[in-house]
Amino acid sequence: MLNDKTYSEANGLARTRQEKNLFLDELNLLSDALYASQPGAFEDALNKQVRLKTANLIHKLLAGGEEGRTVVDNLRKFIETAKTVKITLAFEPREETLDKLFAWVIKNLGTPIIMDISFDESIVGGAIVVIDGKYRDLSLKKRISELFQNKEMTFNKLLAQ
Amino acid sequence: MEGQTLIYASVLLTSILGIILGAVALSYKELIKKYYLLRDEHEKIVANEKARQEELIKKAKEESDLIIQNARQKAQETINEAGLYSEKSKQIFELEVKKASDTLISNFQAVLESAKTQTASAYGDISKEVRIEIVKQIETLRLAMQQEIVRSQTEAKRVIDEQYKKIEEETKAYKAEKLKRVDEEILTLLKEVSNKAIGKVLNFEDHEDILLEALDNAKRQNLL
Repeated sequence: MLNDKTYSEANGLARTRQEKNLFLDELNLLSDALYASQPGAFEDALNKQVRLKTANLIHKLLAGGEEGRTVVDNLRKFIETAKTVKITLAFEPREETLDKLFAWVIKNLGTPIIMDISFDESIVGGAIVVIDGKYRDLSLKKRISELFQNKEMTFNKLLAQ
Repeated sequence: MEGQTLIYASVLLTSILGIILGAVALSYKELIKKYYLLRDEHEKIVANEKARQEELIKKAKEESDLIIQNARQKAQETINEAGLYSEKSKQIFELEVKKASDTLISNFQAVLESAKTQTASAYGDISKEVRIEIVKQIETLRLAMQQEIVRSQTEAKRVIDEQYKKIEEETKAYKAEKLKRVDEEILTLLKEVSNKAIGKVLNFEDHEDILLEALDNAKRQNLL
C-alpha cells in the first residue's frame, strides 16, 4: 500500500525538511478533524486548512476506497519513515531548482526521501551531500582546491626558475 | 838469689827515680819564683816607660804650642807688612795670575779639543756601526712586518670567505623558506580569489548545472 504510486506522490509534498514539517502539521489537523464531534469537520479541514496539493492527494487516495483515518495514518507513516539526505548548497535554491534537485534525488536515491537543505556560499558551487552516514563533498571549492594541489608542484617549479 | 837481686835492683831504681823527681820539683819551684820576679820587674819597667813617654808628649806639646804661637805672631807681622806693598805689586800679581790662568785655560782647551776630536772619532765609528745595525734591524723588522701583514691578510681573507659562505648559505636557506611561504600564500590567495570570483559570476542556471553535474558524477562513481 505504502509503495503505491499515489503514496509516492506524497513525497512531492514533503521534499524538504520544512515541507515535511508542514505536511505533518496538515496531517495532524486532518487527524484532529477526523476525531472531531462536528459532522463534516474532516471535509471542512481538507478544503480550508491544508494546501490544495495536499487536499488533492488525499481526495485521490480516498477515491481509491480507503478510509480517511487510514489515509492520514499511512501518509504520516510514509513520511516519517522517509530517509533524509542532507544537502549543502552554495546558493539559496529557488523553487525551480528544488524541483530539479528533488527529481534527481528521488530518481537516483529512491523514495520516500526528505532533503535537508542548508546554504553555505563558501563552497562556491556544487553541493556537500550526507546520506546514510556517508559524507560526499561534491563542491566546487573542493575541485578548485584539488586543482591547485595538483598544479602546486608545477607552480613551484615555475616560481623557482 | 836472682829474685833478691831483682828486688834490690828495683828498690835502687825507685830510690834514684824518687831523688830525680825531688830535684825536678825543686828546680820547677825555683823557676816559678824567678818567673814572678821577672814579671814584676817587667811591669815596673813598662810603667816607668809609660810615665816617661807621657812626660815627653807633654813637653813636646808645650814646645809645639810655643812654636805655633811664634809662627802666628810672625805671620801677623808678615800680613801687616804685606798690606804695605804697592799697587804695582798687586798689578804684577794679577798679571801673573792672569798669565797662569790663561795658560791653564789654553791647556784645558787643547786638552778639551783633543778629547772632543777623539770622542767625535769614537762616536763617528760607533754611529756608523749603530747605523748599520739599525738598518739591519729595520730590514729584519720590515720583513717580519711584511710577513705578518701577508699572514694577516690571508687569515682575514679566509675568515671573510668563511663568513661570506656561511651568510650565503643562510641567505639561500632563508630565500628558499621565504619563497616556499610566498608560494603557499600565493596559492591560498589564488584559491580564495578563484572561489570568490567563480562564486560571483555563477548564475542560477550555472549553479544548477554544476550541482546536477556533480551529483551525476558522484552517482556514476557510486559515491551516492
